[in-house]
Amino acid sequence: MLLQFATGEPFATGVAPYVYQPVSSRETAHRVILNVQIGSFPTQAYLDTGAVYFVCAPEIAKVLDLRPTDKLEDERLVFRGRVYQGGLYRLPLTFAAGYGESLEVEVTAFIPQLHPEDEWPIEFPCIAGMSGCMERVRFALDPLDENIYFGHLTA
Amino acid sequence: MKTAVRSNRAEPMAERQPAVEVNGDHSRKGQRVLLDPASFWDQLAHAAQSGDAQAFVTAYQAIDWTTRSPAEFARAIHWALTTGAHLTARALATAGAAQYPDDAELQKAARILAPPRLLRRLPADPTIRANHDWLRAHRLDYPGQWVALRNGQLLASSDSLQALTAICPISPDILFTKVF
Repeated sequence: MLLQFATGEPFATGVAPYVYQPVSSRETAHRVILNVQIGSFPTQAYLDTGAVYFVCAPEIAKVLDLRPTDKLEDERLVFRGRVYQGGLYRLPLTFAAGYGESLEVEVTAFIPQLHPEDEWPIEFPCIAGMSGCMERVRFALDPLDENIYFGHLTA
Repeated sequence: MKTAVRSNRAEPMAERQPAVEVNGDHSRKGQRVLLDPASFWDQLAHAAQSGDAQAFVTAYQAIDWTTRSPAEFARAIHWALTTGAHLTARALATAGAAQYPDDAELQKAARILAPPRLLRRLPADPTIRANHDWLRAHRLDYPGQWVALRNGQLLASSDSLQALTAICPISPDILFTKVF
């Protein structure tokens, strides 16, 4: 069942189960892990409302067909107290629903370009940050059933 | 703080900009003391260099952007991103693209930094729960591994995503993720 306002207007148009597990071998904290699809590549991202953009691991970037014309080059992102060099892209990202409608949204994505001596500190495939990614998605979590309800603000 | 008494050089900018009083000093021989508009740009550059996002936003708000060139917009967008002032970067890109519709770099920046946009609605994927059940049941069996799952069934696992996609080509019905 999807959520509605008192007026009958939908709050959410899709609901998806999420996984609540650690996202790294170095951390024990659990995160909300969502199923997403970058273009035609289905993977997972953890939700981080304190982060910006949709952040992709360098490994993922290698298997994506990214167009260099849609890239702001040589940008830097401060991540966990360190500055990482990379590119900002505009990518189609689908938030997969298990019931209702999945949403395909065009988001801003940061993809790091690591030097040989650099190590990307994130072991998980992707991070769904707020600004540039989740900021136009209305969402609510149900921790009991581990479901995320979502809808786009233009819904 | 760098200050300047109103001068002929600063006049055109000062007329377009609100007067800024420095430390409550309203007069010097009857003249109002204003910040030189050029100093706002210096402050912007300094804030970017020192990574001070709040100072960057303050300087950004004080600048009259209607007089700035495409190159200055582009530089300020880069500084904003470097400083972590992401929404200011978006505001600069939007304003720059509107002011210079023929500038390809500013148009690209505005497109990439724009708020997320709904492209389309798609059918639900009923296999999500089956894949999650597998991840919950087997997370300790494949720590740090990439796995390829289809409808709750493990297709393959590997240390690297590239090796995994060589075995299981990318397909919308296969989930590629890492297990912890």
